[in-house]
Amino acid sequence: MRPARFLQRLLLALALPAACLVLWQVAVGGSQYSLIPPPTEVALQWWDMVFGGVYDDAYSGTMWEHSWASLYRVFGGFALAVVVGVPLGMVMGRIEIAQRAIDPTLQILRPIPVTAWLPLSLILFGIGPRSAFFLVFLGALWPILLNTVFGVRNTDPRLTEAAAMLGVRKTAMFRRVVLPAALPAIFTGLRLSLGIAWVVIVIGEMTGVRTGLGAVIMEARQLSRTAVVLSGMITIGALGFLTDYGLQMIGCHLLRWNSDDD
Amino acid sequence: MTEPFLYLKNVTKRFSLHDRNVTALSTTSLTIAEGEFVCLLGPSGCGKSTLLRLVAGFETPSEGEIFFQGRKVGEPGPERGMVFQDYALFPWLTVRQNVEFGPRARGLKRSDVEATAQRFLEMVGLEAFSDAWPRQLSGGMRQRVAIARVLANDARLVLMDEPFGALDAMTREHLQKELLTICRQTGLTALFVTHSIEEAVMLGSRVLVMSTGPGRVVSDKRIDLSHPRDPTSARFNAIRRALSETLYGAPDADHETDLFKKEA
Repeated sequence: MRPARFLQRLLLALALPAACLVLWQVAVGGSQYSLIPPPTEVALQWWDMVFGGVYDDAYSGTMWEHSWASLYRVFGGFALAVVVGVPLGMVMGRIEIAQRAIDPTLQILRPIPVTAWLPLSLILFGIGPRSAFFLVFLGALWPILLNTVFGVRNTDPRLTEAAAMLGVRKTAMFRRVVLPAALPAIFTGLRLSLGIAWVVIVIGEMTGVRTGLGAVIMEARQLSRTAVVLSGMITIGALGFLTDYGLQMIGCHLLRWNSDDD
Repeated sequence: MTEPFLYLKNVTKRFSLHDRNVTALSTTSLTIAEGEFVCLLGPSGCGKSTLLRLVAGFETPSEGEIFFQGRKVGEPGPERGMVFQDYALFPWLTVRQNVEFGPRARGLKRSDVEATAQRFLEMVGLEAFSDAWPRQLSGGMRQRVAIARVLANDARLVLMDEPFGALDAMTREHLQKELLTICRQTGLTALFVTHSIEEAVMLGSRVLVMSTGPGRVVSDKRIDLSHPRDPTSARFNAIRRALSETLYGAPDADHETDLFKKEA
């Protein structure tokens, strides 16, 4: 029963992308000078970039290098956002005066798009990976921060009362009650942030770095290698999906007390 | 030691609500002896929960002082264990971890913590569910965990704020009996808030009737019936009627006593 159900789910999930591919092939396949390559050509390009042996040009077999570079920056920026966002969010959620002092500034900074930060980032951190880290960090910070504040604020006051009654000191209250109670909200923030980190990576790699999926997309665009652009896009999509899945697995384990199914 | 177990000395509690001062509990003095099962009975807004929260240390009196075993009550503490109506179990801990929470927070030795938790899980009949999450339990079972949690933490006085209010009638009856057994076994003193007359007469060795506007204690009755109490007996009903009259005044103008007449 279980494998059959899994197969059914897989087929259902693959139906829509398969239909899109067919539509794509039909739309561009007939014309001689389409600007968009057909999926078969993109698939070949992707294969060549991953394993080589098809075109043997400058892009062959480079996908790993670019993927590692992007993964490194995504997780670097994301980790920075976690290290800053979670503690700051906990302080803001718990201490009224901190919230009032910091929140207005953050609300002004928050609507500024990451793209707008790019020139300033290049001045501050120079051309290269440090700017990429910074931009990913900026994009990923907000969901973590806001969800942590929300989670901490929504901690049931009954639970802190119960803990106080059981002998938990004020200094230990954070670790023993507030943090675990806020964990589901924090995890929602982490997932959103990791997603945004992947969205921002292309901008982050417009900072003059030579490797990375964003960099390869921007470079191939200038060379009109649209199949390379699409291969990079597909790889970002796949890596984003896989890293989110991994994070979700960790979340499922940590928050198993909170899940609906038994 | 001649000092009273629990002593409220001219305790008043006022809240400010929308720039208005509301007296939740007007000047109250009260002595409770060790081993008593005191029910606080009254309609909502009579200050019964406020009184309980003051004794727990969640609120501080506007005037007056509270002494527990001769020491002034300032903050919440493990010797005064609270059982909430909505259980307030830690959802991220298993049943066993919830019971172990207090002893562990106070830094007791691991082997002692485990032995204590085991003992009280058995006492409330939940050892088979010790690795379950609170959300997997029924309301009655959750409240058992909450009771085991305060007992495992050496509570000398349990404060119960309508603990069975959210449970169905059969579970409630069952838990009332269990609670009485536990109190007898452990020599526990209880301060039990309820708005059910029957529950107060069923459990209490003493019933304090409270009234609204402002919240105050209007009657203090001792109940000498032996356990187990039979709610259909004449004496039980006589006490119930008397309490009902104290609560609601004239018998014929009132729904609750009408109900009693039909039953009689």
